[in-house]
Amino acid sequence: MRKLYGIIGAIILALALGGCGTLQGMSEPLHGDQAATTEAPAMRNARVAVDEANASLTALNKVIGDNAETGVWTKAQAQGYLNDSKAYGKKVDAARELLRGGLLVDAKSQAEAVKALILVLHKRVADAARKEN
Amino acid sequence: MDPITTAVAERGLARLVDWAFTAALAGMERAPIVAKVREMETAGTSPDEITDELQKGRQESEVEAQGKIDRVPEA
Repeated sequence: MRKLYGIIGAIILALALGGCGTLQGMSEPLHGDQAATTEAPAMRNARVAVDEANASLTALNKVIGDNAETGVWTKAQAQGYLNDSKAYGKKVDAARELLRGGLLVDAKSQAEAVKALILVLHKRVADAARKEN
Repeated sequence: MDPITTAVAERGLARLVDWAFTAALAGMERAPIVAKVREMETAGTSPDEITDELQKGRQESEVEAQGKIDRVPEA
C-alpha cells in the first residue's frame, strides 16, 4: 500500500512540476520563430536536429553528474551512463561536421538517429533514478 | 474518463511513472538551455554561432559530469 502511495506521489509531483513550467522546458522548441526566417529550410532542419541532440545530451549529462554526486547511483553506474552519452556526443560532433560541409541530408539523418538513441538513454537513466528513489 | 485516468489505463501505471519521471528530469535540465538559445537569438547571434555554443556546452557538460563521477569514492 505504501508503494502505491509512493507511485501516486511521484505522478502528482511530476504533474505538479509540469504545471509550474518544468515539462514545458522539454516540449518547447529549442529555437524561436524569429531564427527560422534566416536560413534555407534544409539547412534549418539539419541544424535544428544537431542543436536538439546537443541540448538533450547536455541535460542528460547534468542528470548523470548530479545523480553521481548525490549518491543516487554507484560510481560504476554513473560512469556507464556517461560513457554512452559521450559516445553519442561524438556522433553529434560528426553530424556537426557534415552540416559544416554542406551535407545537409546526411547531417540531419545522423543527428536524428542519435536523437533516437539519446531518448532511449534518457529513459534508462530516468528508470534507474526512479528505482533508486 | 479524464485524461489522467485514460493515460493510466492505456499506458499502465508503471509506464506512466517512467514517462513522468523522464519528462520531469529532461525538462528541468533543458529549460535553461532553451532560455539561453532564445536570449542569443534575440541578441542577433548567428545560427552557426548558436550551434557552436550548444556543442561547446555539451562538451563542457561531459567534463563537468566526469569530474563529479571522479570525486565519488570507489564502492
